Amino acid sequence: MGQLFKPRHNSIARVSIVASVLGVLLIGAVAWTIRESPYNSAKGIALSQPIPFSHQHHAKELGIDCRYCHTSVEKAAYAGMPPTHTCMSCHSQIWTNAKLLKPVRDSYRDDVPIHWNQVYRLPDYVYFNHSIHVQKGVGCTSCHTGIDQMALTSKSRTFWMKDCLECHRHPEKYLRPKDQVFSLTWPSENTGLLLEEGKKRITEYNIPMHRLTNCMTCHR
Amino acid sequence: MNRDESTETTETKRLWRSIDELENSIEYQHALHREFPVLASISEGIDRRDFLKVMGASLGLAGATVTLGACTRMPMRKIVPYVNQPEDLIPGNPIFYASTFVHRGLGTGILVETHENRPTKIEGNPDHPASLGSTDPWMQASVLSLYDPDRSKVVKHREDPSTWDEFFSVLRALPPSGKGVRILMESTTSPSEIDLLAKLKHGYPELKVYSFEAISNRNVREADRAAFGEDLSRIYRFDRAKVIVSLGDDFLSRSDARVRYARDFADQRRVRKGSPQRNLLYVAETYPSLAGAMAEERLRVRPSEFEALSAQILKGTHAGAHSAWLELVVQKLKAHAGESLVLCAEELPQELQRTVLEINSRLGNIGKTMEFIPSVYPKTDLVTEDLASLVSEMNSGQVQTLLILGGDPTYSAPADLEFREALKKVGTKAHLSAHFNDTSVFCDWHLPLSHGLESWGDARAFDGTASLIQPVIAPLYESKSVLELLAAIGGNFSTPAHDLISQYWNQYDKKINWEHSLNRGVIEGTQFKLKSGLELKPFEGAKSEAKGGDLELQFLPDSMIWDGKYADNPWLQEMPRPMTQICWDNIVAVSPKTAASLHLNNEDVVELSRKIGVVEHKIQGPVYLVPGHAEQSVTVHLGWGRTRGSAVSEGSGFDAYPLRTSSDLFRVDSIQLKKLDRQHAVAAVQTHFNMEGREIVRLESVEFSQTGKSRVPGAGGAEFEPTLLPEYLPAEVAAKTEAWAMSIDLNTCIGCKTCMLACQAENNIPVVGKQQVIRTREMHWIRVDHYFEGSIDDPKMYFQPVPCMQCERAPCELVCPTEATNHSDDGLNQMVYNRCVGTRYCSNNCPYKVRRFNFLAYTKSIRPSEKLQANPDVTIRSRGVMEKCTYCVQRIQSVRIEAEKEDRPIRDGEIKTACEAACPTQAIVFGNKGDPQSRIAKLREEPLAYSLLSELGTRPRTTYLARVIT
Amino acid sequence: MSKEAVNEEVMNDEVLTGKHSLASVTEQISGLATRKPLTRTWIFGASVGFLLLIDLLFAITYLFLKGVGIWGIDIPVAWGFAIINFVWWIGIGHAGTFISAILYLVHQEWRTSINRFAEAMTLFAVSCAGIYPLLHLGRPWFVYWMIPYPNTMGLWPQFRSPLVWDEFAVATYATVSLVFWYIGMVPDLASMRDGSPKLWQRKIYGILSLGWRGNGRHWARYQTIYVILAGLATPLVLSVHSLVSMDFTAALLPGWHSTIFPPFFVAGAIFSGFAMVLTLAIPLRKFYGLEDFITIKHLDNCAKLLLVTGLLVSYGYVFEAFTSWYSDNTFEKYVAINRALGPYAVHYWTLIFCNVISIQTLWFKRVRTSPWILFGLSFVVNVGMWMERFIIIIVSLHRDFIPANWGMYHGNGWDWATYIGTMGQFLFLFFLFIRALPVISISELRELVQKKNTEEAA
Repeated sequence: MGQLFKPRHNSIARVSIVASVLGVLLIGAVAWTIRESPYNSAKGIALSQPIPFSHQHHAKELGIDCRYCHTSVEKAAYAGMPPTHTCMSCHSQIWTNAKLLKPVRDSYRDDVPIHWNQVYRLPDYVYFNHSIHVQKGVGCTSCHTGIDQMALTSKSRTFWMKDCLECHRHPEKYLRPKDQVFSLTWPSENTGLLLEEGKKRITEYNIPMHRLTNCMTCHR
Repeated sequence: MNRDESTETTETKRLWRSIDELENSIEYQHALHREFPVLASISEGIDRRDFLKVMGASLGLAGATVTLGACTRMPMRKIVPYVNQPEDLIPGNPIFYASTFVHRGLGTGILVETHENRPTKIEGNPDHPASLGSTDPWMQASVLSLYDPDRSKVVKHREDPSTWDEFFSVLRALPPSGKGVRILMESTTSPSEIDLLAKLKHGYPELKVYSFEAISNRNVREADRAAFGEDLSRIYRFDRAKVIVSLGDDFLSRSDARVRYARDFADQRRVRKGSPQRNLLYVAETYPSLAGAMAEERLRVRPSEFEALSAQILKGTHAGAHSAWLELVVQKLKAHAGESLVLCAEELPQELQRTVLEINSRLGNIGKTMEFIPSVYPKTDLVTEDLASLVSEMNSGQVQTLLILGGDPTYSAPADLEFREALKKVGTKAHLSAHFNDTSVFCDWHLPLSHGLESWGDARAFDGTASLIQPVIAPLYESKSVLELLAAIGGNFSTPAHDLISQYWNQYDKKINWEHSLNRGVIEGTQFKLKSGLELKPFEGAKSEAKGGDLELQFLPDSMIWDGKYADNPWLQEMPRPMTQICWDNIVAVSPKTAASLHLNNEDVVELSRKIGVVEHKIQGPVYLVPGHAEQSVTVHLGWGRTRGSAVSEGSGFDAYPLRTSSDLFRVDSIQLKKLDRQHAVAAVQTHFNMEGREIVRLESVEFSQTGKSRVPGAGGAEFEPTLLPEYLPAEVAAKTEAWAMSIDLNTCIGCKTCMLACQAENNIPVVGKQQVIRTREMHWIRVDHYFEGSIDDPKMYFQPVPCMQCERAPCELVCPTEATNHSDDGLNQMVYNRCVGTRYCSNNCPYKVRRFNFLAYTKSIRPSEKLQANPDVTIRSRGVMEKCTYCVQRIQSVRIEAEKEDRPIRDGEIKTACEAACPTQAIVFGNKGDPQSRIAKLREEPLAYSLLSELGTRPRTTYLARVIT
Repeated sequence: MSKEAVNEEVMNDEVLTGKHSLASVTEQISGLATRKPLTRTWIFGASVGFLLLIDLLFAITYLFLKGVGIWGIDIPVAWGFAIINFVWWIGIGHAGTFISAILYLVHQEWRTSINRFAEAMTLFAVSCAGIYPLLHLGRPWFVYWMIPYPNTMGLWPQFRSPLVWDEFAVATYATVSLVFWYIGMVPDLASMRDGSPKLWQRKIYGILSLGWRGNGRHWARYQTIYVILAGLATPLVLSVHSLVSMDFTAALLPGWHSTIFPPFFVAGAIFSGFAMVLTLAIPLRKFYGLEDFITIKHLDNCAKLLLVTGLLVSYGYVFEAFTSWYSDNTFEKYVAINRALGPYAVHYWTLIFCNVISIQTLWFKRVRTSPWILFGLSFVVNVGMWMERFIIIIVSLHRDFIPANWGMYHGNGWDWATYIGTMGQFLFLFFLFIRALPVISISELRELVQKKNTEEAA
């Protein structure tokens, strides 16, 4: 009977050995890329909103303090979304009939709340508390990095557990002087000299390092 | 005592049951739906309709195309801010409102926790005399009843939806004289309601008002009136009583001030180093009660023997039966004249009440341990409590219009009155009720009743203190409160309830600060003055015996669903009943010996029957052997076997009212019992009550409590298991952080299960339904174990609440492959649901078996409207994850965050776990054992202190104080 | 001693009987797969296996839809059939590697004709065992959390947990067994390739045999790698079940927390493994006329090993009882009593009968040399070993420290459906194996024939 295989099949065989190894690595690489991609994490993707509210304009250019709208950031777990009333406190005076702001006026007139699309979303089993972070000298822009650059708001981090742990394991990178917490200009992450100061602040603010990575610090 | 033979029978049946499920027999499906329609959805039996679906899916699986848990991106969600945000509201922070919970007309102060204006949890009001900050099971559960999806939602006129206005037209048409108009309501002490009633009587001279309670304290008050010639209410001073004798009265769980009395009672038996003295309790009863379990000497008597006992105690003799107990009691009473208290069950006949009153007066207890105030109930000429006379009026056709405000008399009225028949003879009948129940069916008008958390009102406490009921949420449905309806009957259709209340209190007393009273919940200075110089009318002499057949029957209200009033509440339905640990069913309770003589075994269905008039009345229910039950007598609990009104109560248990007549409210002297060859499976969360000689509940002498040494590992000078393991925390960390710990005093735990309900309400614990409980899959994070010691017929009884021990060296932690359970620096054994893959290894390795597993999607059993009760600070657990007591970590964290914001340490007692806060006797204490000044640190040093199974070296943070026995 | 008896003796010493040439061996064995028509027995067996496999898929799907609550498990008995079956199957999966690796290293040439299908049995058994740890999870879709990889949570599995050791142990065992089995098969695959009548068969076997041409270098390397793998596999035989036993010993539960477990489990595993070998070998030689290759001698040897391991296991039982008494520990003592007299006493005494009493008959040569008695006995032992796991897991859990927690456990319909389903999986795979691959190592058998023939010639 004739030959089953031709000589070239030998090379095919040899190649296939290498290929199988590479294939596995490739699959891993692809999976990794997809996971890290904005497609998966929604990082940097601006959602459509009923009103194209610009933090860049309000926070940076007009220099309105974060707490003017996010009133409960120092008191409660939630920073608080401004009621329509807050918007109207200005926009009953200026841009009173701008087309863009029609939804705000409608909301105020008809007493129907504005339905914003949530940008920063943590799972329900994560209990993040704004007030304590702000109190302990973690600045807004440490998590909401570059919020003052955003014409349309988008996540500037993946907000995965490892992000939280990054800070809870190395708080010195993010601790600021308490008067700088709401500053938009302070660097979102301490480096160099600032890092040294950050290290000092751990004791100064008595940050409970031993407790920061307890599961029940965030999960209840 | 060992209950194996009984467990075996249940076990074999259990096997069959599961096979039924597999075969999905029609009977099983029916049974299941009867057992508990709401939970049918989470039965594990396969549904035929699913078959093809599953088949298809399994082929898919064969093709390995089922990608379960493939990483999915988070769904889009909306943020909906207010248009105008309320001033005081900060989203995410709870707000507490003071209000009042009313049971049988009497008020107990509560604080209602609300999240974004949705009530989620009830706490006791420390300022209220009947609460002192604690609660009872009903208060805890009432928040769930608010969201009961089966509540009636609209006015109905003969089954058709109608409106209040249409009903008001009926009221407008009432005859001006009020002729033939009758009002039947539940007992009330509400000053404003009583005021309105008085006005009504004024407006309609011929109108009559009746009140009816299936379980009533009427006999006590009638006896008092007969004895003193005026309407009085009693106050028992357990804080002064050194010796307490109870003839069938379970004052710890049933009295009108049960929470307060339990506290006063417990305060007298907190044995600590340096304070060994404690009150003495002697109980004679038929069915083992909470009080009975706490008793120094408990006597088993048949219901007919109380007369004889009381007569002997009065005479100070101890001849004949029970002489040993009597001798002891009489001697103790003599020794403590003036600081003793003799009680008897409130349903017992007036003569007996009078005798007991006489005993107390001869002991000089009146004015000392037994005080009197003017009655907190309406005057008898205003409200008649005699249902019989109303029925006779109805039968004689004198009643044209009957307005039934609350209650379900058709279901719960004594059988001999045949209320239903009488009702048919009435012209127009309206029923104000939270559920469309048996009475509603026979009425022309059904009117939805508002829940206490939805309505304005007021009520008096046992001592006359008035407190306000304020709504914490707008009525969910088109409902009205009794107060509003009374106003409407009086022709006042428009005034809002708030104004009715405030107006009343302003005219009542100009000095009252309305805002302040609302804030505190209690209206200051409304407490009644004590009656002094009461003259006791001459005593005719005690009735020395009562007729008793060879098999007596005793009626008791159910310890959780009372007279059926709370039967719609899933939490209460699934609460294991004291002594039997059974839920979802009532039973025919008999003593083991009697059972043997009648050839009965657990779960045999029997038929109880008696002649009432000419008619033979029958009920059927499963037998259950109750150690400590009196011989030759059976006990049945009322309130079960509802047929209408609520999906939860329908078909659970059997209805015992058909055997109950107005002459025999408490006992039937002779009953026929017939064994049917049927079995009815009951769900008990505990089937083995014998300690097997292990030191689970430690029993110590008073001497030891003074001279002994604490056996809590690590506590000063206590026995300590040598170990090679390092401390679980490095010393420098341990120095910086709290060390949470809990102490449970077995001496003052009365086994009322309030802690279990508080935990359920606080931690979003689902009910699982009877079928799952039978499979021992109940979810309660804290449980109360029962143990019997001594003879199976007359054992001693002990309770032991068991939450997570929060072991410092927790066996569960190192076996978890994903480290979903591990240790926090402050000593919490953390359970991270969302990291759990469900190997259940931790549960196997937990010596205390305090871990609970979501075998199925139990949270599905939470019905949509009930979801509103969920505590937003606690994660809802999904199918397939382990869960357990967390020491209410959400409370710890919220307090800690506030403390850290203020840069101060957490104060002792600042954090209260749900169970601790709720406990009526304050048997549970939580705190930081690291702080030597804290209460908990001191308690761990107590000689009585010990930790459960400490020989295992788990070093539990939850410790116990041993039960002191004489 | 009578003449027949003598002959019988002679016969039974043979590991190869009948007249065979190199060609006839290859012919007969490779023929099973490639030329013989499908027999009725095969069709029947395979289709039974397939139906049960469907039942397994159904049970699994319903399990994933509803949750582990469909099983009989509860609190306190949170582990039920799933873990029992897992340990049972893993145990069965031991004989294969034991035979092919250890017996190879100690030059037991009688292993030759049973090692191939014993290894196959091992793989299939492990594949059955392997699915249980997944199935018994509350949330099987997160099973990958038990594998260490850089994840978005910044977390690792807990390496202190026996379950994690277990996962590695079993995975390693499965891989090594597979490679060992395959390498050993390469020369045979080559002869299948050469023997197959159809082109497509030849192509498939050709690819599988990795271009084996049977020249000196091939054989030299083959021998080396085979010894190395045998050396690798040997410690695994001991490690796997030791680690499985850790799942129990690492816990503090009385009845689990015992130092005797690792050796005890390994002995039990090989015990059940050889039982299963007999269960398979006896019908196999019968229906495929392999009596010449799988001789009475083989059965006799297996039976002897069965006896030895059985005695080891029995020793284990005795000492469990002894230590619990000797410990004078309330809980330990109660476990022993509860096993013998508690609600599960029937199970316990069944176990004692199957694993201790029944095997004593193996002292008699007549029993060891009569196939069908052995067949029955092997079944009894399999039941016994299943009971053992039932006793260890259920009876220890259902009554532990605090009497108030005591409960009962009963496997329900779904538990059985899954268990029987995995048997189906096993059967089906095995029948496929019979038809597709050489059930006996042709090359090694040819060596034997060669040896035998030359001896006879001399």
